[in-house]
Amino acid sequence: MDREELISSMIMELRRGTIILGVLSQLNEPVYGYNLVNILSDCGMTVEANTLYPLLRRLEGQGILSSRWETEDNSKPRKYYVITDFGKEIYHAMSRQWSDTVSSMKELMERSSL
Amino acid sequence: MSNQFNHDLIERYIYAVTRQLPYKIREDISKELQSLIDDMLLERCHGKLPTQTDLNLVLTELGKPEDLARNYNPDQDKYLISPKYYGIYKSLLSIVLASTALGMTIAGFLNIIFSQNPISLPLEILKWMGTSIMGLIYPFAFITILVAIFERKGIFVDLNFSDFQDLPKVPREQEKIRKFDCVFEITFSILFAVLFLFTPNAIRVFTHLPKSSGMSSIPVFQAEVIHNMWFLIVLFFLISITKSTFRLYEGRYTKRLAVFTVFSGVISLICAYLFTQAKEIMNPDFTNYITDIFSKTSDAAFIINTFTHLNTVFLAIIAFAIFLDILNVVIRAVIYDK
Repeated sequence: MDREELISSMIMELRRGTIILGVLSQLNEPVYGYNLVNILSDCGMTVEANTLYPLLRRLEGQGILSSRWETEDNSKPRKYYVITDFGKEIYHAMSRQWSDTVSSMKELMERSSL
Repeated sequence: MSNQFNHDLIERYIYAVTRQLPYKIREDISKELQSLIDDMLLERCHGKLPTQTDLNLVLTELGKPEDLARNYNPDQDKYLISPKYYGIYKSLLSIVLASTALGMTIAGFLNIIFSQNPISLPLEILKWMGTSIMGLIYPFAFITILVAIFERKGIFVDLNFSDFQDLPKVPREQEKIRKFDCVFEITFSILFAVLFLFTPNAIRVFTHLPKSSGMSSIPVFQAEVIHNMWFLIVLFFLISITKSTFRLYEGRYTKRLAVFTVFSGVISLICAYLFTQAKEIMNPDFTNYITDIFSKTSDAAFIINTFTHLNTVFLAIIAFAIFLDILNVVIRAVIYDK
């Protein structure tokens, strides 16, 4: 594995868990997959559709999201995802953990002399 | 034209993804992908008719169908033997194949030594190589199927305990089953199975026959009868190898091991009974020879009886060994596995 590859795999590792948190944060209202790709990307979180779609399905399987097919204004049907009550619980637990992580990382990095 | 081409390509792409997925989710994923590709094209072309290049770019962004399918269905049921069982599989395979190869080599030598007819050595070696390759394929298949069953049933490495209290306690020295013993059992079983299957004539008595000059020998059993019952021999040793494998990974005397030992003991005993009591298993030349030489001794009846019923003597020895094994495992399991 060369330098660049190693760096990108480390960054991917770091990003992995944050994608779920980002996704859940935006699903209080029903959103369809590709719209979510755009919302996340507008906020600076680039997630490929080929990662996001399977992830949404997995989260649905875990009872964190629910989905339904909807047809709006004569367009083709799209699958809309929304967070469930169970999903909200998970989201709150995760975001608390995230805040703790951010503050401890901030402190660690401030102390670091690198 | 281009639209038709695009439509066709989208269909083919979606099919290439969904055909690798479980049947029940295929239709939904295919609808989902169709709507995703439509959305991506819509965004790229801003309402204009998408060209082939647009579609190619969109599909490239989605990636190879097999990668996308893997994202949808990671790792599930994809392995015959998954990485967590691979270590077990590899070590079992090396023990079993090495023992089989050794057994086949010994059997090959014995066959050449005891061959009744003049033989051509190169031909025998070729024959031996052929049999060895076939002989190695069976245990290979057996071990693969055995471990694949373990994989499906989650035997051995199922650490799905809910509480650390459920972790098994560290066995004391006398509670442990030594790895070496199990490996020895497996190796010995295979060696014996191979020898028995391929050179039943090796069990024989050496003597000076009156009519011939020099040493001669007579096989104790009828090779054809033994050959005809190969399935009993195979079953007997398969059970024995499975039991030793179970022991190897259990590593200690447990109740489930005791249950399996009793179960395998019963099956082995049935096999041994059917095998040793088969009609005409004893070589008549051997029984005649024994009757001849011992008819003049004082304990004639007893000796002749013992030797001419050597099959029953073997059965008794096997039964005794099975009994001791069951007794040993059951008693230790009762004492140590509380």
